[in-house]
Amino acid sequence: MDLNTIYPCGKVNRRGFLHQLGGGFFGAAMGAVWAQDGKIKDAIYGPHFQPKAKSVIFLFMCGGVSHIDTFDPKDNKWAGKLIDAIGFGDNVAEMKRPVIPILRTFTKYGQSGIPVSDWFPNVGGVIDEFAVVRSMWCNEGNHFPAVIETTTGHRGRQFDHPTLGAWVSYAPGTANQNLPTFVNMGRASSPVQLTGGYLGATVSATPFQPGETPIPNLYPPKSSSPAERERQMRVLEEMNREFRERYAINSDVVARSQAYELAARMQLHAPEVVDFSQEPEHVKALYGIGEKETDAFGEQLLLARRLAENQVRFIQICHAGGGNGAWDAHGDMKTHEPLCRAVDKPIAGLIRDLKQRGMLDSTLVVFGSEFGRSPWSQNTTGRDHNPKGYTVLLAGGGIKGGMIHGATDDVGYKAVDHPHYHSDLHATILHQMGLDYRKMEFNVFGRTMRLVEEGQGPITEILA
Amino acid sequence: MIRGYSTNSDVTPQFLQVFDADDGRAPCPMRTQTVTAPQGLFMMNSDEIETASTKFAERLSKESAGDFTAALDLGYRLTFSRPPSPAERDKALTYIESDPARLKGFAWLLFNLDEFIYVQ
Repeated sequence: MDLNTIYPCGKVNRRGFLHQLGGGFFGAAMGAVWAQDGKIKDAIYGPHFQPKAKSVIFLFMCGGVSHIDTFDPKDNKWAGKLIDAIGFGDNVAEMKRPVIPILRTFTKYGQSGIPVSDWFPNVGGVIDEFAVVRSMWCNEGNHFPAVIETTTGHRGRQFDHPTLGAWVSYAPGTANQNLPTFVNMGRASSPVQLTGGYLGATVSATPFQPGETPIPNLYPPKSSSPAERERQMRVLEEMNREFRERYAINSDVVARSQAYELAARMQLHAPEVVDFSQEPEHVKALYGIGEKETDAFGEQLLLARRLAENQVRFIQICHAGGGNGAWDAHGDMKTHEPLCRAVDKPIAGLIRDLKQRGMLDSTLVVFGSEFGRSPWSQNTTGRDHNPKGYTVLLAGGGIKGGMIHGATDDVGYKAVDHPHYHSDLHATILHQMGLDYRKMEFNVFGRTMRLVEEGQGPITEILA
Repeated sequence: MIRGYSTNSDVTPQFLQVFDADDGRAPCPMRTQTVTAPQGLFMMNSDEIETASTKFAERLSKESAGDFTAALDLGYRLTFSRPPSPAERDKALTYIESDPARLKGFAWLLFNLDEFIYVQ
């Protein structure tokens, strides 16, 4: 066995060298160039087969969407009855809890006739594009551990495991060299959702937002004059020259000058992406931009489409983050209502807009949370956490639309038909991006790390 | 770098994240070391560097009593523990052009030099 793979410590390994030399920017960009040149053969770099999707738009509802009030209807025959509610959610002791009635009305939409609740009428209008997977489950019953599990594929953080988006952007493909490969919009539930972990900061999420400053520190402070800054940049180049000539062999120093060039290119390109002035009014209206309730999320989704157009590979949007997340409806299910209204129209708008541009086939849209919500309440009119069964929605990017896959039991408690551990969702996303989850391996001190370690692999039933 | 620094705050400061900070919450057998554009943006444009440049310029100005050559020497000694080479001194003097307001720009230059990031 090659000793380097056991004791990489202190040696310049190939990937470390690449990170330093080429990875000036979010690694993937230069890594892609090298991979295309055939200079690196590591299996982790894809694509391992022809990708269906070029970009992923991942919509994460912080706190846990109630699947039984939205996309997984149940009749109310259990309502009012006490059932076992043991050992998950906020409940660690044995106890019985009252099932609370589902107050929503469900309508069958589209040719597929998939039932969608009155909280998501617009998504209902495009439900024929979605695969509704009703049988997801994970282990962790509280927010922070569940967020770790469902974004990194690992329970707890024995290691600094990278988030899904970091794995996707680590394997290079057609990354835009002027923009990050992995961006996050909105406040995340946890910094874990942004981390590159042991894959490095080159693949961690870059915060992005609509408006005047899309990326932190993109522009000089207001007090400085552009002419003076230009002069400074010229002098900086001259003052650096001596040092760079002396240490030209050091890849870090080479990478640093490239990183500054790239920063300059981002200053040019990021404003173009966030400039909505050329977007027609009817397109903005699709996203609900200009309407009070949907404006903020609508702008983020329009920006997501524009980032996807610019080959940004993984666009993560966290909705209602902060603390446990506003979707965490323990007290009263009615707190879901304004949140649903805020995201319903923008999501439908995104699907319609991607479709009319012919981008839906190559853009994978995913909607989900860290877990679902329980059939019972904690003696309130709200619902507790439920990791044992919940729903995720996928559309575009080679996903079969207008289908329901899997099912929970009579009350929406456990996934019983085709249950899928959350890693199956990760494997599915990787698969649509042309990546074989089994080849996505990374060696950390002799321990082979993977995003997907459990589960059955991609959910093949929902693939077109 | 900040092991134990942010035990329960929910967000590691953005500038530490871009410089591969270990957030202290997970064992870290191997620190990653990257060179990225957001790091460049931080060094160029952030409030932190803006404030540091202002304060550093004030100090250089005060301790050199209006002598630009002395201010440059002090600036190099404080940041790199060495005086500037004659060529570096010339370049910096050419930049400042006897304008005291440019000492802040000079401080910014020092912070953005490769030598400030990499110890050789």
